[in-house]
Amino acid sequence: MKFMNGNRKRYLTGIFFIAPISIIIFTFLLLPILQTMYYSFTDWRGVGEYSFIGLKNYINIFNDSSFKYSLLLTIYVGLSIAFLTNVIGLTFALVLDQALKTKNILRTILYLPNVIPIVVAAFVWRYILDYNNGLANKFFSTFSSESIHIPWIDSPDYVVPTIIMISTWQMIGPVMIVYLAALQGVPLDLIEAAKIDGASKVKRFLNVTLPMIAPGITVNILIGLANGIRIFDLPYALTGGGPAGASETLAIKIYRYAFQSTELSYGMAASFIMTLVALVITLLFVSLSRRYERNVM
Amino acid sequence: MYSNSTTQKTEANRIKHKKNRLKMLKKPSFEIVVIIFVLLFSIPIYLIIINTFKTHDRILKAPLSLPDFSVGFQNIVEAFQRMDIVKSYLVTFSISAIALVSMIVLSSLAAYAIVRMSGKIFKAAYWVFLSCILMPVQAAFIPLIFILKHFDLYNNIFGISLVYIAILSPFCIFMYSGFIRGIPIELEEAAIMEGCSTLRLFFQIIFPLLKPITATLIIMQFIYIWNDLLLPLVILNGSDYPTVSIGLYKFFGSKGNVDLNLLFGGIALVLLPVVTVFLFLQKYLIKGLASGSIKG
Amino acid sequence: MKKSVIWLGLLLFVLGSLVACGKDNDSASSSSGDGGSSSEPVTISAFIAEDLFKSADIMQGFIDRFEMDNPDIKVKLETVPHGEIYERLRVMVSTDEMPDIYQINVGHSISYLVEDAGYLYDLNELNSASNFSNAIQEGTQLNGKHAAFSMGVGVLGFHYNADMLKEAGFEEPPKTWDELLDLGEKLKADNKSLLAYSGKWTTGLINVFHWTFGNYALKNQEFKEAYLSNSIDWSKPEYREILMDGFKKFNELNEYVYTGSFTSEYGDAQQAFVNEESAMVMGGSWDIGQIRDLNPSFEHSFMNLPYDAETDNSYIYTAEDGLAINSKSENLEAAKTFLDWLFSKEIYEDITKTLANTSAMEGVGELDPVYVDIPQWLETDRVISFANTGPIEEAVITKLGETAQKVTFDGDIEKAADEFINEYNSFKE
Repeated sequence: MKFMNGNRKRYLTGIFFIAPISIIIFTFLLLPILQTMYYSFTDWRGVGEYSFIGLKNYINIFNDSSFKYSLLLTIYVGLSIAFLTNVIGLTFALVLDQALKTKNILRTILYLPNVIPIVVAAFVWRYILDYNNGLANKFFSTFSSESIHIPWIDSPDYVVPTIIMISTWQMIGPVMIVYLAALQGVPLDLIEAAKIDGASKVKRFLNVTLPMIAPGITVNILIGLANGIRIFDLPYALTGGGPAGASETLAIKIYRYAFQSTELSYGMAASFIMTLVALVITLLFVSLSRRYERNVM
Repeated sequence: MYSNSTTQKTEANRIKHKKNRLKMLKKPSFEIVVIIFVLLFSIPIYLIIINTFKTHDRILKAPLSLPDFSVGFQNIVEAFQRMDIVKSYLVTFSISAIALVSMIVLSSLAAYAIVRMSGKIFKAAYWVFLSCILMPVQAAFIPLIFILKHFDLYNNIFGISLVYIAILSPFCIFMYSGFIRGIPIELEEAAIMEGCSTLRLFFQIIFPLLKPITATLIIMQFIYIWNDLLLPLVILNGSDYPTVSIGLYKFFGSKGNVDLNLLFGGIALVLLPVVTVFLFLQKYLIKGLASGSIKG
Repeated sequence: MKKSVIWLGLLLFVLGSLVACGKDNDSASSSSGDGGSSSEPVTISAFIAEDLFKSADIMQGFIDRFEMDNPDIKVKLETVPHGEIYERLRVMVSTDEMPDIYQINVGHSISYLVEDAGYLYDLNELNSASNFSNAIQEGTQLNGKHAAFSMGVGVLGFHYNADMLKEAGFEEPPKTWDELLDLGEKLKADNKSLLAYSGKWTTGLINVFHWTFGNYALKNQEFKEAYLSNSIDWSKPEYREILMDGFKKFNELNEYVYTGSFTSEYGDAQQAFVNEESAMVMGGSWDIGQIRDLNPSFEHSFMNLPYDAETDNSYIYTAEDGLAINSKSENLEAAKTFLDWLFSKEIYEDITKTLANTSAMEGVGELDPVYVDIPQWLETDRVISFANTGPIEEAVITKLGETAQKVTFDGDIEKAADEFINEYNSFKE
């Protein structure tokens, strides 16, 4: 009987623990988003009366071929950034986990790109990637008899990889830090044991280290996805979504509709679609990774 | 914030182990290769630094050249005056402090309940919080402002902090719950047997173990808030509550023309506090994380 | 133990800041609450982009002068970064937070939203409205109201490098489209560009289309009305023809355009012009101050785009951003007093001098020698005043720029036209 009481008390304490943050999240995040959803079925312009127009906004959006492009682009950018930041971030973390004399200062330098406001970073990258006078093209030209002009941001074919590259550069820091933290949790005895068993370095990494840092991988892929799928400031500041709309991500499209047109409800419909995409990706990914974590731990 | 003797010992052990393990890598040549890589990686940062000490003309005509230091710290001083920096620092720091403190406390509590309490509601809460991580908020600004106005929180530091908490804490909860899951339950069971209340148990046993993850989250979310442009733009009146990021972006003028010397001077002012916070928290990122090793 | 001290410190800091801002709020609300009474000073709010007066300090200087003359009125100035002005205004309109005085551009679709929400005050009620030249008074009309007091006027066109043109064999700037392309060809042979667009932002890229639509509007009144009411029926073959012609000419021009023009900032374009990498830079008669700041070392002047033959070619005339009054303001009289003062001939002359703007008032301010031809242009009957986005949504205009650029990369004009028309129809009235 006493035990039951204790359990009940624990349950209530738990409710008490999650209640405050739930209320805040509901009021200031979910409620506005639910309202957005509601308005997306109307022709509300942000002022005055509105009427319900059913799925008209959604039909218009899907008739727009460039929206489909933006949708695919956003998913592509999200996945690429998640992949690249993790590979490079983990590499840096493994290297900086070594007994290097300069590791503290190197960690700080690697984190700095994340500290700089993205708009400023984009501004500086323009000096490097400029077609005519950029540092990168000048640098590559020194290896060649004629001057090399790579249209880093001036051709629809190059601009997406360029943006993925800059965004990765920008996100390495946090990803590396999380990996460094996760690596501290890997028990050295296990590695020693594997060493004694004669496991090669690669095998030790794959069989011992990697499963132990699985929660870190999950977090980091989510960081990558979150930044990739919501990416806005970087392409907006770097190219304004161009050239020819090649770097116009979903977030930029929503911004255009919601703020640069009077058809607010149209932007809200686009936003709802993005919410759904983000939801599907997050839930799918986390349920998969949790299954993996459970298997290896 | 002070590790007890056990963790210090584990740390010492760890380093010893590691030294053995990495003897082969402890060549200076390896370190030099790493340093070169990192330096290449930070060319844009180098560009920012050199341009802080140039005139507008020099930045425009020769952004890649070395400065002649004729302007000294004039750019920074001028940006300091133009950005109303003291007030901006105060406002942005207040927002960050309110948001971060509440965010850390509330989301770690919530994560603990989600991981350790049994009941459908906690499981459901986990998935709801999770789905909030990637929510795009731009299009929701107008409904959001209606809600803030309803509670009389529009153009109010407390209001904008609440919005930050709502936007950023889902990720904190996710991260905390992942790491709390790795803490062995045995630690708590003893405390429960002794009749320790759950709240005390959390703050005395669990929370100290979460120090490194807390430091990571503080850094990440502090940077987010510090550099955020859109929320202060739409929620706060810039003359009542100027923020650092808006002050900086004001140097981007019409038609893409920029007061370059002010912009680069301003960047120094924007970066200074963030880098300080990072350097201060850096030691907590790794140290004490040996606590994680109890998992094994 | 130490940890709790730190937390406590943080909490105290938080509480302190809360108290501080609580106080701030109270004083602000009490002063605006008493706005009606005449004994205490009235506070009006003004909202502009940081750069409307070059910098907020300059605007504050004028405000200080005003407050000296009018001790019973205080002006509270809020500025935002240039790029965010209409976004913020958009939110303000929807959330009923409009300031007493705000910046708009009559050629921007947000102004129509402001009018629909009933915030637009007819400035004809003010004495200083008559200071503006007739053309400007007409050009700043919205729904029959004088919507904004414009900071200056402008005509779209090209600043050109006369020395480079001479070298390529052009004593006079090109007068026809073919001559223009011919000049482009000659410059290209010399590894130079013909022109740089005025930056990647919406209105920078689609400027060529102002002549496309403007020239046709000169000939076809029906099209002009449809354009201005945002209800063009693109299924009409002759309208579609015009659009396709625009795409074609934009594409032909891009052959000779400075690479990077699709993604660069206006400042980069001007820099390319001053560096003599590009013989022309697109823009308007508001640019000369910035160009002179860059110290060009060559003879330069200003020309219209020879889109069609001289007799069919329009001059694209536009009012700059200006200040409007919130008609629902509680302090309407004070707001009127302020704008009347600011746009009195005396003060406005100071403003144009400080900002190096082209004056919107007759007999006020001086015209830069580069622009000597402009008054003659404006006397013709070929002046069209729908630069900027006009009644068309900014998102749709952006789409026009994007689809037009796509032609440059994939050459498919039909597809581009379809995509633009589809977007236009989604946002049509």
